[in-house]
Amino acid sequence: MAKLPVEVPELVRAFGPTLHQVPSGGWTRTNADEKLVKTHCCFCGQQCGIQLRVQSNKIVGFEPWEDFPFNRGKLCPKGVKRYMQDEHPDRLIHPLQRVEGKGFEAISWDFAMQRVVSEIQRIQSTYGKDAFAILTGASLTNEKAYLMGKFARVALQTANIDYNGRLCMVSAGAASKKVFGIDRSANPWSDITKAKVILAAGANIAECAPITTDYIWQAREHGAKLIILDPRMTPIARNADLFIPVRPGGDIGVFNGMLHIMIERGWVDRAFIEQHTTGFEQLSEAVSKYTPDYAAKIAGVPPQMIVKAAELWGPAPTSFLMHARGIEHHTKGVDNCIAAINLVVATGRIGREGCGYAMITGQGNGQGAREQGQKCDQLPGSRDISNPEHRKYIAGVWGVPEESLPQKGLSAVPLVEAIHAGKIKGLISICFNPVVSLPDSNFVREALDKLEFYTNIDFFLSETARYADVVLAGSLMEEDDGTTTSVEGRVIRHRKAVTPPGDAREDWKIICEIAKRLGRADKFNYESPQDIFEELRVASRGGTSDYYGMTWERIDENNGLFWPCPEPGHPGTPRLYENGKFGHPDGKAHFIPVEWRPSAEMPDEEFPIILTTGRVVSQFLSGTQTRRIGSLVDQYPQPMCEIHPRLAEKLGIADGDFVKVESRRGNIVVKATVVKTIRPDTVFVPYHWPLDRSANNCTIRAIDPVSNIPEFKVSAVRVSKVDRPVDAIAMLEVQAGGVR
Amino acid sequence: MSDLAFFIDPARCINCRTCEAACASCEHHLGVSMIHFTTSYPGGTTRSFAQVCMHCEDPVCVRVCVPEAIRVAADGTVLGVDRELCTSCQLCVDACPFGVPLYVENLHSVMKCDMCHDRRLSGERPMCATACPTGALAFLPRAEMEQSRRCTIVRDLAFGSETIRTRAHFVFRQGQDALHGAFFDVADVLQDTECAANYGQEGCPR
Repeated sequence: MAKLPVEVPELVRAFGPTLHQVPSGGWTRTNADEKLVKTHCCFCGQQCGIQLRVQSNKIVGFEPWEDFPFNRGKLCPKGVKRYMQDEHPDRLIHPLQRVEGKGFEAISWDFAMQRVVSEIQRIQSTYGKDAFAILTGASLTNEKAYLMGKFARVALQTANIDYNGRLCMVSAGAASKKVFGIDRSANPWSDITKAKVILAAGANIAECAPITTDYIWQAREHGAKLIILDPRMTPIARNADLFIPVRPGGDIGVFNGMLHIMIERGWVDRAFIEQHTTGFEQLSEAVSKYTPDYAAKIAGVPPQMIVKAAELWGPAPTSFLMHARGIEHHTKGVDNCIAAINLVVATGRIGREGCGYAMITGQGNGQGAREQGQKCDQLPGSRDISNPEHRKYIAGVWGVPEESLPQKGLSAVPLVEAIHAGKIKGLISICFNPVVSLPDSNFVREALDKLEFYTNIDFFLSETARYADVVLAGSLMEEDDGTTTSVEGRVIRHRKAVTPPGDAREDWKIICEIAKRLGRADKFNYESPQDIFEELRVASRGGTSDYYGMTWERIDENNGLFWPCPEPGHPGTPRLYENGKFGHPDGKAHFIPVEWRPSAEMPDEEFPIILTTGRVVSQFLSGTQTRRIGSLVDQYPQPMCEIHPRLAEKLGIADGDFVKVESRRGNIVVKATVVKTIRPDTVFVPYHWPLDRSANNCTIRAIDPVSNIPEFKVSAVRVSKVDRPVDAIAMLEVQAGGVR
Repeated sequence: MSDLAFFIDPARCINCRTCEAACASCEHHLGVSMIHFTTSYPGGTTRSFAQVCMHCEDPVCVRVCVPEAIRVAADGTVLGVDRELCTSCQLCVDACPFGVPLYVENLHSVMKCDMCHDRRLSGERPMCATACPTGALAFLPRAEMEQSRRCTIVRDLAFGSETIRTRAHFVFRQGQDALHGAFFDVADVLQDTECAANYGQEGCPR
């Protein structure tokens, strides 16, 4: 299809984002028919327990759920204000179709389904099965993620399905799988509090995983030392014993440098290495050149910081390493994570109380959504779509011939590139706002323009849905039942609090209906999400992420169950790798030597500054939900470019000035905030906003060769002072892409 | 009176403002937060803390309130402002040494934190301290606080010649636990300024 049906301001007037300031029913409370629904937050991977207050099928507020063991009532501003997304004026309540020059008009479900199905059939019969693609998300429940994978392979028979976890957990997952043999955080969070040293790398824990802060503070009350690696002094860093303001992309310098010193001073566990690992000799050889001086030049920090880090980490009796997108969003994201994990395995401090490793999952179901088969290379149970045995098992569960299952498809960025190149002509997306969240936004917009047919399932009209031909009104997390798998690997229950408003439908019903109309009714004949889970259990059986022993009832009774849980009655597995038993067939951990290499785009004379992107505490991902909630927007209304006073002075920029941040791909105009908490060679802009305020206009479309994660953390830019913008986009409200 | 009390522990505060969001969600507050948030030295630090009502033993806000719109409950809680009685004179706003009472223009009244008196009557803890993700605002028995945190607890606060005793507590820390970062500058710790400032140039790998 072509560009947007009408100009952006007109779409914003009709569909928002609009700020919701007062809950359903106003600020008065009648306890008449109020019930409390125990469920979980819909936002990040912490998946905090929360109770929603429901009156007359409306969510009117929240109440902490102090009995849920992970967060014990604690929340963050997003979780607290989540109830404001319900009864929202922007909520899509019926299917829509695009009308040229007018925007979108309401249509019936029957007509919408007819159009979607006939377009799928037309495009697949004209261009081949793989010409119709699916983009999904990691905020979907396990049941929906499983359904999307099956829908792609059985109903559409397209190879091209991928998900927005591609922007999130894939580097960490790949590294963990390579070294440990399993892709999951190795420990329950309770182990953090018992560690004597904690190393958090590239993790803005206070803003992106606020609840984890309390676990770290508890460890500190017991005397734990805290090491933080980050180009910015984030709130968690200010209490650190050692804050290493590493240059973006320089992490391997710190990790390999630390290991170099640890080997030199005998702070590695030789007996453990001998018994439970392979590849240490090659690793030792690789890090031998990473002397403090050499490592420091890569890391962009003084050498004594790396020595100090090794001195804190090396001899400690217990330890916990955690990392997040800061080291993962690189073209060497997998290698960064491997270098970090090597530090854990070399000390043998894994698989026991207070000794562990975790990747901090970003999205709500970042863990589960990558296990159930909606990744381009995966089948349910974290199975490999290229493995004949795995294919055979899943084909058996689904009752289809193995040869009918597509092979590995394209991951998110190459998939969008294939749309741009005209190879993929049709798209269904759910739970993904690539116009805001993928790198190089201008390219993404161009790609969407080239689709012959695009249908989007969503509850709000996201910036990406504006490009759709048909929009199917789906469901919010609180409008359906299901499970997610939290950052700890704990499978938990989301409970339906209200029914979808108007004609909106539960997502799984929409998908099943399309499948039925495509002639696969027999394979998508589910009565409920629980029905889907019952099949998922079986599909995961014998896989790495084995849910076979779980039922919804057991999950409820136990406040969640940790996978693997291979048999009914199995207690689940909160801590992996106990007794040095790892996930590889040989039972060992595999050291992998990694070398530092430059980022895809390094600063040069023309673009001399590093742009790194990330998040703020009151917004979530592409902002489809959180940019519609009044107080969350007021807390951090618009993206700010963080810039060190030294760089600001050089560029003639003062606090509060508008600046243009410009790369080879595009630019944004945002306000500058001059702060001493960032490296002078780096600027930071959070990415939650759209259009001319979208940091991803500038980011580079370069991906890690193994994980295919984009390099959000290093783009070369120049920054200059400009006048306050006064164009039509700038005049919009901040939540829509304007400036305040 | 129960031995549960408020503790403000700035060393744990991460500036997330969950407390404000939770406070403002109370239907009695009509969307207004009774908590005041402070970020000291903006731009130079990530330090912050939340100011709740300290519930002074001899509350000056009560002393200056002519229409008796602020009263003290039997358990010592300095209650919220009775909006029917409040004349908006704002003497309490000026008098409070912690800057707690807040004049809300559209309600023509002053409002202040009452430590969620209603919630506590039904056995629940104040909303802000329950929702705070880090324990920077805590509502615990003092003994538990002393046992679980390495800190000094203070409730006698001197303002010039006057010392005020409060029912809520400030928490201070020393040594390893002390907050650094008051005037932190990343450039200062990057002593290797050549590499820090001249990324990619000679001597600094690319």
